[in-house]
Amino acid sequence: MNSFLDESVFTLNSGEWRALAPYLYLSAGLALATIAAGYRWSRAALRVLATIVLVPFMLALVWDLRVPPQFVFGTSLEVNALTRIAGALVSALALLSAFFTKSTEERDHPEWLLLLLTSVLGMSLLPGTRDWVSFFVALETLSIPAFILVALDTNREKSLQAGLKYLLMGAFASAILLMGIALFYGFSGSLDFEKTREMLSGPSPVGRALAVTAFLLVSVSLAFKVALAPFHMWAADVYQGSPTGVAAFLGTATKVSVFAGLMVMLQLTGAYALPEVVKVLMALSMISVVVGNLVALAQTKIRRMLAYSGVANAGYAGLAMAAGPESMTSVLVALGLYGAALICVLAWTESMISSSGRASHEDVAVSELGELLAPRSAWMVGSFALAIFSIAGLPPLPGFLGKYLLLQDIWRAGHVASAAVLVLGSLLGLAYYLRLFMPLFQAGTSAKSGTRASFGATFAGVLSTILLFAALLGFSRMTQWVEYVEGFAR
Amino acid sequence: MDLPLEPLLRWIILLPVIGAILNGVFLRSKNGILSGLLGTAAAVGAFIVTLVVIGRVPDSHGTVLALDPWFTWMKTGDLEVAFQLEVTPLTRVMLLVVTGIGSLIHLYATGYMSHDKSPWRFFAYLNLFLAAMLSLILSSNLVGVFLGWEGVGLCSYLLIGFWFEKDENAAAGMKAFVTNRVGDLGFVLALMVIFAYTRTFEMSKLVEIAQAGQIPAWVWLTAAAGIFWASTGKSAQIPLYVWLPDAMAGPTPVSALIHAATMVTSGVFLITRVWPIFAGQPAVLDVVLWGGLATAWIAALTALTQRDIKKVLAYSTVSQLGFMFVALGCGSPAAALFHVVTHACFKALLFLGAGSVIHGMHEKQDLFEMGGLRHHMKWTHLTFLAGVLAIIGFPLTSGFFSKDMIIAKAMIRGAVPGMLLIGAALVTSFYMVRAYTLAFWGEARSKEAAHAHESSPIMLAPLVVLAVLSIFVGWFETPEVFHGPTKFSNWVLQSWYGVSPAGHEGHLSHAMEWILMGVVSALSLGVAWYSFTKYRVFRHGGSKATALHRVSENKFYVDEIYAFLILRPLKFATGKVTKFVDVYVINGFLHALRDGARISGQVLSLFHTGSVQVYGWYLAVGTVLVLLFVRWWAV
Amino acid sequence: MTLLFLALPFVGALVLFLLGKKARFAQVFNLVLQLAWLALMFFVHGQSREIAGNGGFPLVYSWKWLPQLKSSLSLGIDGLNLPLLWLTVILSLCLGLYAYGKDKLDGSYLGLFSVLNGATVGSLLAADALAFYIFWEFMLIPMYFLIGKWGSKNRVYAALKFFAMTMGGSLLMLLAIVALAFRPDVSDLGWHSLTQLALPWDGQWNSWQGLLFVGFFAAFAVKIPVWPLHTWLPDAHTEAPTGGSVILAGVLLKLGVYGLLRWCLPIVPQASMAAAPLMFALGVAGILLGSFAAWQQTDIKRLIAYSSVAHLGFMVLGVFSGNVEAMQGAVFQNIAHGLSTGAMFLIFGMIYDRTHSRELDAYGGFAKDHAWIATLFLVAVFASVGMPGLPGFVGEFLVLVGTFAVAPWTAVLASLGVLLGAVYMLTLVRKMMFGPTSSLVASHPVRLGWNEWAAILPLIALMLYLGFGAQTLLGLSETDLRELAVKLR
Repeated sequence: MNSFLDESVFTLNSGEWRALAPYLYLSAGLALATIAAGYRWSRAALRVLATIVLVPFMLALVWDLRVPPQFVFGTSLEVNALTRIAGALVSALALLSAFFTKSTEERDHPEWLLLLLTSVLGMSLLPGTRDWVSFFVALETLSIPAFILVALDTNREKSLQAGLKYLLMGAFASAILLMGIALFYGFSGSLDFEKTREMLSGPSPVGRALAVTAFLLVSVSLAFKVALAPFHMWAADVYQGSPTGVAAFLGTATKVSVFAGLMVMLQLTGAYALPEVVKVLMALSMISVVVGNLVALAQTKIRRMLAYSGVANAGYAGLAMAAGPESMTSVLVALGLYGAALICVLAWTESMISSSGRASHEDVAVSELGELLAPRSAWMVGSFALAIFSIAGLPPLPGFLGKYLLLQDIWRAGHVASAAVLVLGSLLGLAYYLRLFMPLFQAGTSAKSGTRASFGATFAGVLSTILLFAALLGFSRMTQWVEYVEGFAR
Repeated sequence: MDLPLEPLLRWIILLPVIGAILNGVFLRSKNGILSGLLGTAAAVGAFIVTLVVIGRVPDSHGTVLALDPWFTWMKTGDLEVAFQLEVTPLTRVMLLVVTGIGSLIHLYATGYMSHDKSPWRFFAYLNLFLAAMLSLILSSNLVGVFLGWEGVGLCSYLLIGFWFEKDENAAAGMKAFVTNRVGDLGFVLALMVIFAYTRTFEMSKLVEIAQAGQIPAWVWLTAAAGIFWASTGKSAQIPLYVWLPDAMAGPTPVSALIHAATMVTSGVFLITRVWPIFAGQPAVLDVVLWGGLATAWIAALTALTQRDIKKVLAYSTVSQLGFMFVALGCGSPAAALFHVVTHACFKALLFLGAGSVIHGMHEKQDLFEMGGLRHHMKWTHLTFLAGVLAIIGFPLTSGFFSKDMIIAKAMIRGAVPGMLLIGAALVTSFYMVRAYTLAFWGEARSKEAAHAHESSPIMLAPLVVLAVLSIFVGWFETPEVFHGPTKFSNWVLQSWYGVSPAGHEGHLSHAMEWILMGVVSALSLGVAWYSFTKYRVFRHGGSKATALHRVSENKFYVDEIYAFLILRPLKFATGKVTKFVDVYVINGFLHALRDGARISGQVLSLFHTGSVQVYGWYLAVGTVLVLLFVRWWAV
Repeated sequence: MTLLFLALPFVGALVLFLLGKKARFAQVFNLVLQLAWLALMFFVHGQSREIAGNGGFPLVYSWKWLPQLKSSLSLGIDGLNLPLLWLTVILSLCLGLYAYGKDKLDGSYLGLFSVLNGATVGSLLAADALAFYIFWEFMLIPMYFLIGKWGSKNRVYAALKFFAMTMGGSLLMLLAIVALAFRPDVSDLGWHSLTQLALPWDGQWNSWQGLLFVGFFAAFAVKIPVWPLHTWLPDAHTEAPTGGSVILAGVLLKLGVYGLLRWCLPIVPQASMAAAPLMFALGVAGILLGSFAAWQQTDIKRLIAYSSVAHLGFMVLGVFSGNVEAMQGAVFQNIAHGLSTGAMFLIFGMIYDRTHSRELDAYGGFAKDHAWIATLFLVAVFASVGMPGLPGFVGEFLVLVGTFAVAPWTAVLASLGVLLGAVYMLTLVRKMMFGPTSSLVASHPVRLGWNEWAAILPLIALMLYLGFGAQTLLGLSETDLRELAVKLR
């Protein structure tokens, strides 16, 4: 097992080159974005560049899933089916949210694409990491650009405040993560996941408590990242403060990548064998389901409400995660569908706001939704409603299938309590999702023709609705597609 | 033996139905005569078909004279209900009565209702009623009878509330329907019990199974009690007779047809039809006997002081029905059936006569404002007199024979019931003659009475026919002493599908019968003469009303007692209960859930202050909690 | 063919949404859509004529749409769901006719209606637990919008209450279905494989059968509604627009009873029979308290809604007494109540469109110059009161007779419902139709257009026919219920 420092680790053979090719392409794209930022390209040009970079990257990743897994840089990174799929999902969500990321100034900061692509790179690599150093590096490349993205709208005090808040909380969480990693090193003498598994798999491994504490510290830090319950405080303010596109990106892509990374880490380090860790994860998720739904019930602003519904949905995924490694498929599918639906809702909110002449980052109150929705065409209201109901998890919509998969895996693991909490949560969630439509009932049909709807947001909305229904129709093939992941987890 | 299939039977019901549909849906003509004649044609058509069917039946046949398995109504599991019609000697008589008298009343109504706003609606309902009554009589199983039973209840509701503009009429209609429905609960109970233990509704099979006796006795007791309770509802016995006097709100032909001749006798008819079930239940028969006596007496006493001519006749009907139930109670369905037929004739006659009087007096019904009508309304007076003679049991009239037969059966049963019945008969003759003399003798006490005009011939013809009938129909069933025909007894015996129930038909000695006849008729004529002389010189506002007089006039305050004891408290209590349960308990619980969620949401949202320092604090405390959590709980 | 029959309403809905604000054009298209749907129904009936009548639950279509979830979209037709399919198609045609010419009922209203029809037909046809659940839940969304947007005063409260209560119940059913999906002996969630499961029953309620029963029954109990869970019905009925009330009373409530007979009883027979005594108590409570509550109401639609609670109490008794007669009674009453209450709501809806008042005391003497409307309303009232010769009687009679054999005292108490039914219904008729003409009725004459007559007459004709022609329906579902009765014994 080559140690971390000797140089053979860095001489890549042809297999490794082929495995890294998509990521290198992405890095090249990233560099190009830096140059584009320099020349202050227009918003449209940047979006075209984003498409040119991300679409080929996605295709390259999922072109041939039957390629055997390939270790790169010694054992620190493994590019297998799971990493590829997670990377593709993340970049898809990133691309969608890129379409309506903008700040209020005329010539906004073109470097947002650069930050976005860096974050995508970090997210797509995270599930592939096999030792703590690369795990930490991936996690940081993922979150640092995010801090800046949140503060993108420099002339809006709320955005800056949100960015700073996110930065401080992020730093705090990274500190806890490092503490955890240090404990791991102390426990297993090496930073490799495999090593921890060996140490743990002994009959009564010495320092078991040490390992458990390490796992908890890491889970707490990751829980912060995906805004699981006690650590979700930042979510609402960041969602409200950051530009809509960024909020969409953070709310969806981060969850997919961190959950995937966490589950892989837990599986590889044998954490699933430790009942304490599983119980903590289950507890965290349950709290976040209950707290997320209840607080969302009390919200009047849409983006804040969606933030807390995000916390609740993270809770649902957490419950499935705690149910065991086999639920990887359902977690990925559920979070993917939730992401697409959330982006659709945020895209339509953005296009409504821009068409009504309001400042784009104003958080719309639920009561004002009536006049905003009223003048829009039946199609737009229809797709907005379907996206909302998909997040709520009502049948025939894709969200329900995601939730059903989660329920299936929870039931397979026999966690009846979690199943009950999930069902209770979705019932509670119903209340505030339905409340979104009540102003629509009261609003008269005042056909106030707003200014031209922003092309980006509408395009993103339409695209995500199509994506949702494509997922619904191709659901059976999609689950087979992710079966490869199952192969890996067992 | 081959069943005498007779597809013509269904036309007896179909003709009135077609008449109702033509009148009610297609014709709807304002012209009273046209719709009246159409209705009468339907009724007469049914009468003719009845005659044809009866004509074709060879006399020496068993119980089922004609059978028409029309169609299967319900067939599921082992429940099978066919809409099947059959004629037995018993139903043959009722058929003749209903279609015959029905046609006469339809003819009379053509004249009576010619000036009404919507005569087509009246004749549609009347035809529908006829169809329902005929299906009640013809049906071969209890469910078909129940169909007819509720059908006549519906039609009487529609007809009583015919002039629905006035709320009292609508209220009277509803009271009739609801009171009948209270009775029908008994019928439903009987149906349920019978099916649960015999798995069939066909009366032919029921009668055999009742006789065979391997079914537990309480089943037949419940069935008999249920059917009796239903009959008190339909045939206006205590305690469910309160609807009949109010039913006078309907047009007079309705009162004549439904509340005198046909519907009210369906209770007696049904008990006679399933007599073997009742024969074995002495307890139920006693209740029937004493119930009948009580009804006869209370109704007769109430009729004594009524001012409205139709109310007098209504209470008289209730009282005569009491007589019929006494006959049943004494174990002699033949006497009851005979009285049903004779009563149908003379009571219909009296009601139509009253209708003609009211028509002549321009819708005035108050006896105190009549008087001396014999000068202006000769034919009505004569026919009304014939009716009165029949009802008070003037020798050789139909009433004499049928009432005497019942009194004889009562005497056999026991001295007390006999004496009470005779008393009731005397009271009957008193109030009937009172009504007669107030209306036709003395001087005219109002200008309408002075200028009263005779009704048109179309109304008088039926009166004459009925008068003839009510005099001579008595000869069908003469007491042994006369050694004359006893048609009704053997008709009734034949119609129990070959089963002869145990019933103890005791005999009076010849001498006793002669004495009985002589004494009763003498007494009743004496009372009649006294009432005649008393009311010939009647002065309005004469004697001071005694307490008893006032009680009787306000019908023993029965309606007020019912309202006070049952209706008002029930409505109040249920109102409170349902409001409390639905609004406070269930909705309260649901709203508590909703508010609980909302409030806990608000409380939790207080934690999100928005300041980073606080968040940092939460993060730290959270981590520590997680570690401690693991330390205590999970390990 | 059946798939086309199922898909047509959804396709129609898309087009109707497109038409949006152009009300008249949408209404015409909707009429064409309903007629096409009726024609398809004839084909479906023709195709399934020979297989429907003789038991089993013959599948007419199957598509493996979610193999990982052990579910496939399989559709079946038999004696139980065929009559309800007919009822749905006919009621939606009548409502299409009724909606013609009313500007408020635009494309989106009709589109939502079409989606609702599609979902209802989907859950009727579904022969797979997950497919049934998906369509069952799908019905809620359009109904929520129909009540929420086109209802009257406090429609929002009613819509949310309706959605939340029904959803609460059905989530328990979802848990039951997931649990079933994970039993090793369940190959797929199809009706046939689920009903062949011989789940052991030892009287414990926390056994497999017990919990599955609770799960399934919860969803159907809210929908029927069984007595304590009924408080959403009066609100939903009163606040829903006429079309909403008709389809809610006509079809949606029926799915609860249908669900019991299709999914709850066959899968957990012993548990259902063990729960029968409780169900009898709830059924009788529903009848009596429903009737008493109806007697107090001053709001006409609320009165009719509570009458539905009472009638459905009968059906609960019928379903749980477990013998063929009672179950046939429940199935027949399902159709009869759908027709009579649907007709009552439709007729009153037309009156309400002119008078805009639901207060009973404001009405009076309506029959005086609206003879025909009053007559049709009376036919519907007497059908609902259970007058022999009209379908209501056959249903209630069979239920009472069947229940008496199993639970005599329950049947006796239930027969009180027949009397109470007469009391509150005739109070409604007396106050509304008879007596002196009130100012409201005098000032708002009700003149029905051709389409409104065409909307009521089929319902009245069906009621008059089914009064005596009951055997057409009873014959259909005889073998299916016989098999169920054998299983329940």
